[in-house]
Amino acid sequence: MQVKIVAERCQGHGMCNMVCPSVFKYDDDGFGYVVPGLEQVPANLADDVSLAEIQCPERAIVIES
Amino acid sequence: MARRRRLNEALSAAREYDPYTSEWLEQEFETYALLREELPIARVESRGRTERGDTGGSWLLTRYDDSCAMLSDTDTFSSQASSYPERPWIPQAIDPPAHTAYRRILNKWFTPDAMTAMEPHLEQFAGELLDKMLEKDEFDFVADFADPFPTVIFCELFGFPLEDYPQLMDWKNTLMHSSDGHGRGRALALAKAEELGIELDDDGEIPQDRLVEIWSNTGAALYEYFGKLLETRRQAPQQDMISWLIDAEYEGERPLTEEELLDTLFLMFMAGLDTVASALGLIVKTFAEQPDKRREFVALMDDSRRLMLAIEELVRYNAIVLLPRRVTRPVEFDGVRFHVEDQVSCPTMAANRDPEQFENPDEIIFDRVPNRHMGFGHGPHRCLGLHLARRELRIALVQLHRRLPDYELHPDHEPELFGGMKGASSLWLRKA
Ligand code: HEM
Ligand code: SF4
Repeated sequence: MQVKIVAERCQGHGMCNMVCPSVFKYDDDGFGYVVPGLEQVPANLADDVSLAEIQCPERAIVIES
Repeated sequence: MARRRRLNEALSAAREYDPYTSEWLEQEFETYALLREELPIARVESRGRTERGDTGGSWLLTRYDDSCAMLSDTDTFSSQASSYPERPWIPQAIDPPAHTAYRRILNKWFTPDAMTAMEPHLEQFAGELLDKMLEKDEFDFVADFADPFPTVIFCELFGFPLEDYPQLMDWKNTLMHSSDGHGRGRALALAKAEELGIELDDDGEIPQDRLVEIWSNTGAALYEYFGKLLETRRQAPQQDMISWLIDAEYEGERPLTEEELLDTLFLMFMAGLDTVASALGLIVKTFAEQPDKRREFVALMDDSRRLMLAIEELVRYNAIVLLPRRVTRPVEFDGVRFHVEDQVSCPTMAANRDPEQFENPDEIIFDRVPNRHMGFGHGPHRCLGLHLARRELRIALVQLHRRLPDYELHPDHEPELFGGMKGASSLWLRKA
């Protein structure tokens, strides 16, 4: 599973960080990003990453399997 | 025929649309459902528009998808008043790109980490207030908890002196709740009317066109208060948001002007003081009325993941905010033509009950996924304080139900509700 955040869509409200803080962090302005190295999602975090994708209000999280 | 009748009912509902009273709340969800089915983009009469001297039509969106589309398109649907750039509320009444610049300043003080750091204090303060409230067998949850809890936290965060809290609440209630069914707000406005020599109409109400005087008089007092606070902090900075705001730089280029500082503080005050209190009051009212849902919540609240989803669902179900925007260019929206200066409003409580987006929208489903609700808004203006709000709601609800899993509405005191940015101004409960 591969995950990324489409920067143009992200509005920086941190739902992703709330759901899966190990994979999603946010920068100084509050915009979300995927922790470098975790774009290829470890199996034990896959459920949380999927939930973040579903919950992101701006649909800015994209998963490719 | 039946179909025709529904349409006529919808047309009447649109003509009579007035969400700013407590009576409205008795049938709000039925009316929004009727409009969503028959007139999802409804031309409405809207109180307040003529008072402000606004021109143009008024529209009401009740579908989730339409609301999302509107709130994302800030070029067409502006948050700025037609008087812009004269003294806008920052950041709420400003469009990108200036909005983005202001949010950049503010976002970093409201991040999840910054708000998590406050949690121990939230836990402690919530506990103290609840213990005190629960010494009694019957109590007003709003007066004893829902109002003071977020308000005191907000004052601490911003650096408003705690002893000013009663005065700040009074100003807030006069500005926001003078004519929406809020008992205290109405009493304050009536007192102010007398002070200003405003004559009441035949029904004993303050005439609509004179309310503006009361608001501007109160607003002026508040601005003077903010001005003095800014001056004090310039002399002696503290670890609070007022001091950080004074040091902040717009686009890294210049400090904020005195006007910008005042207009930001004012908006924070309007957005942060009342909202959590309103949501909490309505959520606990829901739990008093739906004991099975309350028990379900109590059973899940020790599971942090389920609790997180449950809080989102409670915010969806109890959305409180109406979101108006101003049309900046002629545009066709799903076949309806909007004109420049039209006002379009999407009530988050309507979008959040759209069955196209939320299955069984009128039921609380704690582990609802997906739940991209609009309780905190949508798009660039999405709530700045949502990480704080979520924590306050979570901590308040868990601590309350640990201490008191069973309660009921007090049989002798009806809950007092207010419309507009809706909420409960009094909620008497008793231990079951
Ligand atoms: C349950 C509680 C809350 C709810 C339901 C709520 C809801 C909302 C909504 C729907 C908006 C969007 C307004 C718009 O699009 O015009 C908003 C914006 C805002 N909220 Fe909240 N809010 C809550 C708590 C708070 C708190 C605690 C604070 C601050 C301490 C806060 C500060 C703000 C600010 C500053 C904005 C303007 C953001 C902007 O325009 O960029 N809110 N809120
Ligand atoms: S939840 Fe979506 S919009 Fe919010 S910060 Fe994460 S990616 Fe951005």
